[in-house]
Amino acid sequence: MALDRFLLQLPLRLVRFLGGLPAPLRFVLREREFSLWVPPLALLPLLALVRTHSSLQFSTLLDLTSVDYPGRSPRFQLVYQLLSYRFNLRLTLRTATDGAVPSASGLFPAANWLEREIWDLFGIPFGGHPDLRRILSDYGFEGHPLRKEFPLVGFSEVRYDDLRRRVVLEPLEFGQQYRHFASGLPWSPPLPSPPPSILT
Amino acid sequence: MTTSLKNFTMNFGPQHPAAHGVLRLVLELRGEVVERADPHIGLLHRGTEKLIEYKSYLQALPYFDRLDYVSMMAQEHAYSLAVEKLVDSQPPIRAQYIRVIFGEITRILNHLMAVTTHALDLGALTPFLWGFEEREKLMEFYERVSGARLHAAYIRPGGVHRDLPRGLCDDLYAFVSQFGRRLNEMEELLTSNRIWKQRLVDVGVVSQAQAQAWGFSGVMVRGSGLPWDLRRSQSYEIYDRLEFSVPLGSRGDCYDRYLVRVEEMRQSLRLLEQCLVQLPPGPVSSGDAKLVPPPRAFMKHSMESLIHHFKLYSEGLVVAGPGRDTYVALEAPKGEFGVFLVASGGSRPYRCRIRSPGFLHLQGLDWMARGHLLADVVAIVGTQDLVFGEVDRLFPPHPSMYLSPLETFEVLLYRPLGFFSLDISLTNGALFLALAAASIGLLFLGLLRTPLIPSGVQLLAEQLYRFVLSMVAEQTGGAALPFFPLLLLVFIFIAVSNLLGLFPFAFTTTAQFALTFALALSFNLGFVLLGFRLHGMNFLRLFLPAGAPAALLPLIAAIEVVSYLIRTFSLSIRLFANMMAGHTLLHILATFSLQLLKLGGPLGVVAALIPLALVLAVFALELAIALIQAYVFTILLAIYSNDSYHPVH
Repeated sequence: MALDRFLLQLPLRLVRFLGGLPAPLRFVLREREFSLWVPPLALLPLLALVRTHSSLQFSTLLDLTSVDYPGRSPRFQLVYQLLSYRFNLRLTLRTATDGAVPSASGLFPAANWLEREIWDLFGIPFGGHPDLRRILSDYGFEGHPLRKEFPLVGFSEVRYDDLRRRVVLEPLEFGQQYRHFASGLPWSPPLPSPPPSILT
Repeated sequence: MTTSLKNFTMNFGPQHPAAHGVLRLVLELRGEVVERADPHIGLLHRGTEKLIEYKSYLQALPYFDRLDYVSMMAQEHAYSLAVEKLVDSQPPIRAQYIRVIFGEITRILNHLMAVTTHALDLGALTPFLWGFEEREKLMEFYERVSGARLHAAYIRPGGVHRDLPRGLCDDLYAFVSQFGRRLNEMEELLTSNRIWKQRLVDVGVVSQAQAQAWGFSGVMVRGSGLPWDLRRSQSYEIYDRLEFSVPLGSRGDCYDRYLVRVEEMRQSLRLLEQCLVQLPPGPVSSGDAKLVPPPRAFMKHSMESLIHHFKLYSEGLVVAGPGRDTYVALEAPKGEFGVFLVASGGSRPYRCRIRSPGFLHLQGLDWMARGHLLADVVAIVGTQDLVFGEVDRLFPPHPSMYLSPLETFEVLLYRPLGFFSLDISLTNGALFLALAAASIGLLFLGLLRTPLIPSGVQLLAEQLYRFVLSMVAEQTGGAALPFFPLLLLVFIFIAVSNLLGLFPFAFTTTAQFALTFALALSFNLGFVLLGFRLHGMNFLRLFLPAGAPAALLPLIAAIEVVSYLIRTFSLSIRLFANMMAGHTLLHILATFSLQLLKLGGPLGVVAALIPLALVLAVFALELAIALIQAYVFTILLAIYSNDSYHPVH
């Protein structure tokens, strides 16, 4: 399969490239995808390196997202999906943070809106971002909806008020709480999952 | 000579036929040239990613149909691939063929929509009418496999939901063999059409470097000549067994992207034909009973099947975790559609990130449109092939949703009433006017029986009577005494209305200019009539002060007339503005106090006391103002009435 070709290619290139880099980087191969864990401080230098390095050329930031783990410290995981058109490679860069992260929009202009979205939905600020406004939520919206503590139903509802003859925004009232069905009975997954393998 | 032009800002959308849904575009224009385009998105954001966190893996699937609602199955497909990757399952080969068949049908569906509505936005209606007929045929294929024309939920983790119904392949072949001609017809209308080319060639040029830096994908990179198609470069399903070419543009403008889309439809026909020829027999979903429910017939005979069916549709399929995640992308018609799925063990995704191509394409609108004419923005929005379901992925804003201190002055309609052509609707204003009238009625009712020892109400009424009487007598030298009962009533009415308005949640009628103006106007008109009636034309001498130099008389007369006329306004504005300002101030201070209280903690409570103290102070002041303004209004009326009695200065 074509997939396997870059399965072999990327580690070789990365290992060669990563040889001289400091220790906190962790390289993980899982689900046939490559992840590189970096501390937030090393993020920008590393992004700049993989973008310009002649044997990597990850010229495109395809996606940037975050996952909220309220129990962990640092709490948020940031996931950068990079693509090298030149070598047909994909790379996932990951970092974990509690506070601000430097903005990648200077390196990848595409990061601008992606970072705005994360700021909007997770409340992670990006240092040096040229225009860190909310993007998806309503004008005047409060809170960061994709954080785990934010309730699914939100805090307010919008409805049409017959008396006032306009749309009104009101605190949410529910006749019935959101029901979370969990059977609690054990049920095995389709296949036993292989443990993640760590290369370096 | 140079003339300076001012930039101006214009709203494009959110309700605009060429905004492809709900795009609000704030355009800064210099004349007709776009200087800056700031897309405001999110008007169709429905929190899909959040919702998915609360659904089982299977329940999450139909959300994907609803993202980009013109390339539904491509998105189901990406999600199903992600789930399959997490559970490490491969669908059977026939299922893969069926997925590709519907992937390509979806591509044609999407590109037909993209090209023909693009043409429609630029003024060419016919391709749209022809193209949509073909889309209907394609959606019938959707309907025949899933029962739904749009939101199919047909491609599922483990394969596809059901096998193709009998005869579908034949009909699909018939479609494939005629659709090329339909494309020719469409191209005859567009491809060498002079207007079409004038609107597209060299508009919205994207260089290869820009396409890469801005995270473009799909036709937006191929139109710039970057040979990149995930079906080819990172093949999935059975695309590596099929022959097709990847059309590329050369200039990266809207016209190239149009040509690329048309050619991709032809390539999709090639792919469909090959799939129909190669389509192998066999199962259409994985045999893994923990992933795919058993056929319904099995449930009648096998206990195990019944259990699996029940568990799959109640609890859902389970993905081992925690901490397993995957990013899966495929070549959706609009570009790279990716799903980043995080499993934490259990039957719900921990997080599902949807990477939609349109989001990043729209981000590029600013620089793509810069320097182009306003009309070209429509061409660029069209060429980006945007659908807001996927770009936005909460609810639309409404300006009236925000609390405003002026909200208390809003007239609310309780019950619309009409009396012939007269509008006598019950509003909060009408209600409080009636309340004021009722209060005055009560005051006088207290006077009906006058016992020997005066009651409180009687004392109050007598005091008021004497107060206003002396005021009128002093100001008019007794001339306006016939007016006294009316002035008394006005004083009481205004005072009562003002005081009523100070009750919490009450509506202040005297803070409505309409009311104060009507009061002032009717009195002043009355005074003018009275003046003419008492003095005839001599009344006009009011405007000609005695002893003024003759040369200045016209000027002085004009000034006098104006100042006389302005009384109505000054009188009404004084009352209305005083009431409005006081209530607004109270409202703001009270809101401030509440906001501080909301901060919580002892500090918040203490801090909230400061504006609260101010509220009390201002309220005391307002009580005084309520009475003072009633006094001022009445005394001024009395003074004005004096002019009608004694016009000669």
